[in-house]
Amino acid sequence: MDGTRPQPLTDTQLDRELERALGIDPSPEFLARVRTRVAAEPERRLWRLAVEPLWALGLAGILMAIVIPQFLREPAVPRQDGVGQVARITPPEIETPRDASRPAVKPVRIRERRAALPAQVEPESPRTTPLQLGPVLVNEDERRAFEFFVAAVGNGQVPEEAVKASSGESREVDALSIAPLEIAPLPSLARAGQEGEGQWE
Amino acid sequence: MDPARTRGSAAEELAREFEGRLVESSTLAVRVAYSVLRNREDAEDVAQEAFAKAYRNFSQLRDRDRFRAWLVRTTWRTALDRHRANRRRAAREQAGDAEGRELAGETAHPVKAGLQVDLEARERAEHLWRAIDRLSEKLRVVIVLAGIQGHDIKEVASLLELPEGTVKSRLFAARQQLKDELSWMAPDHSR
Repeated sequence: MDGTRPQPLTDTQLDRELERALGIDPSPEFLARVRTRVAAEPERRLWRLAVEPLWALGLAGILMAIVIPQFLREPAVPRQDGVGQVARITPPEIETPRDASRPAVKPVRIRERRAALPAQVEPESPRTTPLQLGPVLVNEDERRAFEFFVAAVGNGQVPEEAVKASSGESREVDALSIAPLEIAPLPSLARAGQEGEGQWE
Repeated sequence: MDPARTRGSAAEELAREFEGRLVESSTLAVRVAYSVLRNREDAEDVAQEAFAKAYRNFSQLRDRDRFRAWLVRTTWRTALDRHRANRRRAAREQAGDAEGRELAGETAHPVKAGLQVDLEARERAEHLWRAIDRLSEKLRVVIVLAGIQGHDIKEVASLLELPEGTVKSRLFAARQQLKDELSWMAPDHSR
């Protein structure tokens, strides 16, 4: 021992030693062996790998076809061109008596007018109307007609026969003929008891 | 378009990609396995197994960096498993033998396999491997990967999926420990 501390390896020397120790190359047969091993793997695996993305795409397409139309579907709003609109009911016209010889009250005459369709239906424009929910579920004209009717009844302007006819009092109900119920004995019970006897013996 | 032909071409494309990865990474896998096992045949067996696993999972490993990182990890783990199994088997066969003798025997094996190095180089390699074995696993894998194919810090970080700073500090610590233990190898030591 000379008493001096040995000089450590330099990085370069260490790297050289490591490279020398790890400088192992695979044998020439290695690649062939791996190829053989991989070829022995089931063929369908590669097929499955290739088809998996297609399955995923198809599934995503089906889901989109189901989900997206529900989001895009617009509410059923009345069309502005009048096509398909329900016939509107105009308020009733109440005529007052002209002379004393005629009955004091004249039956209410309700006239229905079909909404005039436009002469020429324009091509349907893109449906971009936002969702509009009407506050009243009853047609406004019907509501007004009903109020007129109630007011006329209150004023005695509606003939009594009409009120009765509308209330259904004049209808006659045919008598129901119900045949009396007959309760017959159940003969099958006795037979069933006989059939079950000794089944598990 | 014919679906069967489409599937066939997709499978061919995958097989072609895998072949490219195999050719490119075979040396890396064998060397990683060899750094654990110190035996060429065992190392090739382990690397082959790792490639078979990679093939089975290739749909998730088509990215090059991802493939190589996965391959290094899998090869390293498989090699460690094989090494432990070898040790258990050796312990059963030669009950009572010291681990040092076993290591020496394993290290000597590749020399017999035809590396044709001289006795001095063989002795140096044995000492180097013993010093590497004394490193912790975290330091060992970093120094081994850095020593393979001249990987720089960035490449090692990519292979281990670690931050470069972590790799740098571990590499520094591993180098220091190895340099201290192998100081007798320095050319001016004999003076």
